Amino acid sequence: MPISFFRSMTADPSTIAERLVIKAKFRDGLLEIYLGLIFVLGAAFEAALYAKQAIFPQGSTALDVAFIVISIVLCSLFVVYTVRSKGAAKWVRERYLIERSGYVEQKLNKRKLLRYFLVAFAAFLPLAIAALFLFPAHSDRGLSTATGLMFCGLDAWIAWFGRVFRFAIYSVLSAASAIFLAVTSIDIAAPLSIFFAFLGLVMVFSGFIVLLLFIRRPAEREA
Amino acid sequence: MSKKIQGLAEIDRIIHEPARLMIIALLATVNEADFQYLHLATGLTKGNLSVHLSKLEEAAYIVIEKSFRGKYPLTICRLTGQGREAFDNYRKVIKAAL
Repeated sequence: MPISFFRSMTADPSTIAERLVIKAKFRDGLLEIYLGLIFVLGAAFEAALYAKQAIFPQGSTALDVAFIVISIVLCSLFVVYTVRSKGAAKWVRERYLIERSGYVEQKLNKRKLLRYFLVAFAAFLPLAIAALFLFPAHSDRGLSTATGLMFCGLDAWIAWFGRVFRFAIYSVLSAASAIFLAVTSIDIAAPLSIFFAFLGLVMVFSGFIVLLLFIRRPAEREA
Repeated sequence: MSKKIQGLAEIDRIIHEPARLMIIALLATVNEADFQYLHLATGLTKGNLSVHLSKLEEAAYIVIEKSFRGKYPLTICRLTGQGREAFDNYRKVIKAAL
């Protein structure tokens, strides 16, 4: 019986149970692969926008058409992926991993979700404004720094609340890349897409390792 | 204060048992969970978990649906309205007394 459960019994038992649900959600690495791929797709879209605006500002008609096609493909991929992949992850989990991870269906607490969203937004807004003041000539770099710091906080919260310690590494990486983007003298093109591509690839890679280790564990069946 | 302390004497002993309290607290925050999830989350042995689930089912605090996924048994557990009410009352009594 986990001692930590009783140690924290003075806290709200619902909080402890929610913590365990979050831990369970990240146990097999699928959620990280899912989130990582969203970041990579977002980064690709941002990179395409940058390429159009900065590299080919007055391109030929063929280039414009190519850009529109690429944008539509990336947008469609993004929408299809975000809509369908969560269901696909659930299908994979229920079909192949349920014997190892167990099954849990979380209650959707819309009020709580809204509160989390507002807290994240309230944290991001002053960061973004401060970053824009600090980097008036490079607003994209300022925005990337603010985004990196926000993800640092978000990952740190998951690491602490869900006790998913690899998120502490993502948090450090997010902070490090945010600080690097803030202080570097290198002229970085499309910093936001670089940040998301970096974090996304790290999450996909780490998610696959977690998934492989999880699959290699022997399945326990009900007594 | 003493009345609140005295309230502890009438506490629901089915929920008060630590293992069952863990199970109820876990089920209170989810729609449903299976045996394996509860086993991993509580750290109880399978036999122990099975006994406590049966006691909670007898008290009508949870419902248990048994089915099969392929060849393997799948046991889904869900908190009932009665179970939720008992858990809320338990929390109120404990909070008031402590």
